[in-house]
Amino acid sequence: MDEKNVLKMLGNAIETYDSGAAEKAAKEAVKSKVDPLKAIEAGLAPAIERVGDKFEKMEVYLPELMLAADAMKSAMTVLMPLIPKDKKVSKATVVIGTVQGDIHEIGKNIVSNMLMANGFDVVDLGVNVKTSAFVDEAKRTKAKIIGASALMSSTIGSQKDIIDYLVSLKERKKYGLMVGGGPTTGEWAKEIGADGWGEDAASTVKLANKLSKG
Amino acid sequence: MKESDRKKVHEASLDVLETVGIRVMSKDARAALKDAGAEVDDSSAVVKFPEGLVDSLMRTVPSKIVLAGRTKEHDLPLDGTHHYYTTDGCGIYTWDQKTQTRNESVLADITKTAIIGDGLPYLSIYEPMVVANDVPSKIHVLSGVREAMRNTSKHIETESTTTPDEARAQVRMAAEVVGSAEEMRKRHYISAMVCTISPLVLDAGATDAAMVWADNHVPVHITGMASMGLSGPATIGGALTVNHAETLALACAMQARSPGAPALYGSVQSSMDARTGAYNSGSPETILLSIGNVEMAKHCRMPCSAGGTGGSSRIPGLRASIENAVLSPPLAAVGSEVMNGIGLADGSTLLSYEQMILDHEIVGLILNSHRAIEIDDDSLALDLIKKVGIGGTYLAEMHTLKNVRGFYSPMLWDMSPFESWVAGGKKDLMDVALEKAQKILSDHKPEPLDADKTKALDEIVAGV
Repeated sequence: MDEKNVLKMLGNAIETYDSGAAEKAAKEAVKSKVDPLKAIEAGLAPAIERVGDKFEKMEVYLPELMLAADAMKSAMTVLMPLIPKDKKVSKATVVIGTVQGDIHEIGKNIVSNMLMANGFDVVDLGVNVKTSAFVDEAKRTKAKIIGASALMSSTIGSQKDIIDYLVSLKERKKYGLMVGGGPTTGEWAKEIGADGWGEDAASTVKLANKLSKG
Repeated sequence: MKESDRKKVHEASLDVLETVGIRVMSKDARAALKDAGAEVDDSSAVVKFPEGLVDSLMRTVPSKIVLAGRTKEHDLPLDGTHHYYTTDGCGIYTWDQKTQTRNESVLADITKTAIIGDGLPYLSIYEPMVVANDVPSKIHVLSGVREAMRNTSKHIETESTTTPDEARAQVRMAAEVVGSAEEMRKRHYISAMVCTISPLVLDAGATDAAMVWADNHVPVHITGMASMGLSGPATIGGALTVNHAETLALACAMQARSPGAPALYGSVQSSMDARTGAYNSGSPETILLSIGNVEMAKHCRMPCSAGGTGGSSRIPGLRASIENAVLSPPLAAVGSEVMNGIGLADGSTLLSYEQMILDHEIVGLILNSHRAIEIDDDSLALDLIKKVGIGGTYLAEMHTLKNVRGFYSPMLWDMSPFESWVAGGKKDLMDVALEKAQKILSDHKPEPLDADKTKALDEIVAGV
């Protein structure tokens, strides 16, 4: 199959939310000797961006977003090992987790998946994550961004704790800090000195794109 | 109501029709009833129904009919399993939200609301929403119906016909649209609201017209309006009885004239305001009466078009929306088939484009919450429940993707946060509704009526 058709096949798999087809298309790319980096950047990435745009325009719903991200991951699993280490490009590393005292994970997982699908290296620390663990892991992985999710009004205070901790370490400016979750608002993010508020998965990806450049 | 209570109301109504009778001002209707065996006093116009006559005449009322659209996709089977909403009809003013004033309604309001109504997914029946004060009164009804026929493919309910000639003209118009008089008799493209005058009077002109509707098998929404304490007793049972007697009397007159003529039990009863006597169509008593109407319709196996939206708030907006959101759900729950009517405030006198859209949202919520819960393998999703297991998520599942597409999606609001509302200019819902109405008006293109049919309609209206 020629390159043009392989790229089209990859894109179609994402836009039909089909993990099986995405894996098949990725294998076809390998078989047809399409540069795996090009397969990702010119085949998969524009497609997932189109799905994100449709989501923003309310043309598709959350399950489409999630399934497209899953399809993306299926194709990446085939393609990523074939990219030489020195050529690997990631927009940035994001350390993400649900704050201490809070075990809600669905929203955080959606954001995590979407970030991965959009070319970020994501270190997902899971739920009930200690304040220091966010920062330690960010240091270790040379992350540019920390994402903290909180789903209860009683736990959103822990988002501020992360910022206070970074300030006390004099490392606040090293990281872009995103907060999100049901009880959070744009005002809250501003009030605690975060760098942005993730209103939903798609807008969090946009925010991460912005922070990765800053 | 218990079965025994429905029987009591029915029997009380028969008693009224036998002993008191009903004044039937239409000579044609009286003649038909006389032939059928009623006791008629032409000097007083009072008609009495001897025992057994009502029940025997009622036997030919079809229990199931289909209200047809101009196109078949808009056909509406009335078989006891569907709910439909109409626009409200025959307002006399149009609301201006900006200046908070009302102006005389005009023909363009009918044209515009017909186009908007054609584009609203949860609206099934278009009833000309206002009186066109800018055309001669002799063509008020016909010009409204013409605009409706031209600008929507949905079923048309006509209101306020007060002469048999006016009815005949509309029958000709409907026949032009569906192709022929014979076809129109089978395809009920128009239906007509005919009001009784409570207590116990059938008006001359409207009932003469009802005989024309019967001859042509145009379904008639028999719309009794007995108001508790004013034109009916101040009790639910009494008000239902007066209304039931009137409804039966007109249905019987239609059957006597033309057996098999379709008729709907179409009451819009209300209570009076206890202090002023004013018409109050937004009261809990109104709801109970409407529920009773639906139950009595079912008792005599008539298709039903009772109650719905249409409260008494003097202006559109919050109160009107509260009333409409409360009035209608119980009726859907008891199975009213055709529910009146979106878009008018102040007791069906004041058209508001904003309220039309607000009511449509209310109606969308009601229709989507009054449907059967289907339990089958796909809806049980047992395999999926086992697959996702404990603590996972159903979000990234094809089953979810497929099924969320059927979730109700509001037209007027979404779940975006407070910040988005601020960023969007802190819009009031009335403003959003008006914008939506204007957008439908500019974007929606109804299926046009053939040019030769349009010309034929124009000729009929011009010939009056």
